[in-house]
Amino acid sequence: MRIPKPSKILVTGAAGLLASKLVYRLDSHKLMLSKLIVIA
Amino acid sequence: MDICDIDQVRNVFCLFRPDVVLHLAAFTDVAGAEKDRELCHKINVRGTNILSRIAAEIRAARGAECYFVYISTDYVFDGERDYPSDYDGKRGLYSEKDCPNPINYYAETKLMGEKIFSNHNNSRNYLIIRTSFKPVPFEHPQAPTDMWTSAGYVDQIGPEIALAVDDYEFVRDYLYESGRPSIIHIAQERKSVFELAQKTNLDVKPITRADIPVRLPKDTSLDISLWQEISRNFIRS
Repeated sequence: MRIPKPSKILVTGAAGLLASKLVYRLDSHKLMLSKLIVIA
Repeated sequence: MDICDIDQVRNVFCLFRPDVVLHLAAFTDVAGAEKDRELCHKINVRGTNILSRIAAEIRAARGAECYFVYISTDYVFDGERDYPSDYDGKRGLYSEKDCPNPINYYAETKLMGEKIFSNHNNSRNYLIIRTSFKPVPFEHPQAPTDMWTSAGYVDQIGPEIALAVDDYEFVRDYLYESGRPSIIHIAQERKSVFELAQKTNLDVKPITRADIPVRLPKDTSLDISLWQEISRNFIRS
């Protein structure tokens, strides 16, 4: 029996290269894209 | 969200109550890390520590899972290990159980990030994915012929990582029940960086590692047999 998939995935670094190729594969879930902003 | 601001992170976590945190944010400029160690440490260590801490708070307060997936790097290894005499050249060298020994500051901070989880968390609460990926096409006009890697292009590696995140419960239980650490290597076959570059840039020029002005490991190819076993036999079935 397959285990239920996660319903909410919080992604940090969502503006980055890896996220650009990853997030669309997870689009069946409720995504909250969290753009990285670093305040110096 | 500024991952280095604990109040902001706490607010976001309380608002969205994630089941999984996929932590991709990182300072990844290897040469830049040597020049601005403080910023690199702030993002890769302090930011990761804050996220881990808030995830733990959410778990404790709400009984929520808040599973953490941390993206790490093949550069945590020093790349200096000799090949075994019977090495067949068809598989990578470093397995998930091998001991990291970073040789540049970027990799040092990524290893510190790993230790935030391995030292302070129950292994069922997190997964460390070590990987290496490049943009398409290869971004530099030159590539070293004497550096070895299991890196792939991001459009190949990204979906593999998505698969692991998608079925994280399966991966977590498989690693836990087989007594393995909560680490998995997701990458591709071993080749030189020059060979990798040629796949998307036929004009790339060969150089050597000595031509690169930052200290990079010689051979950080990864043994990906565990991920192949999990994904082939279980997740994709």
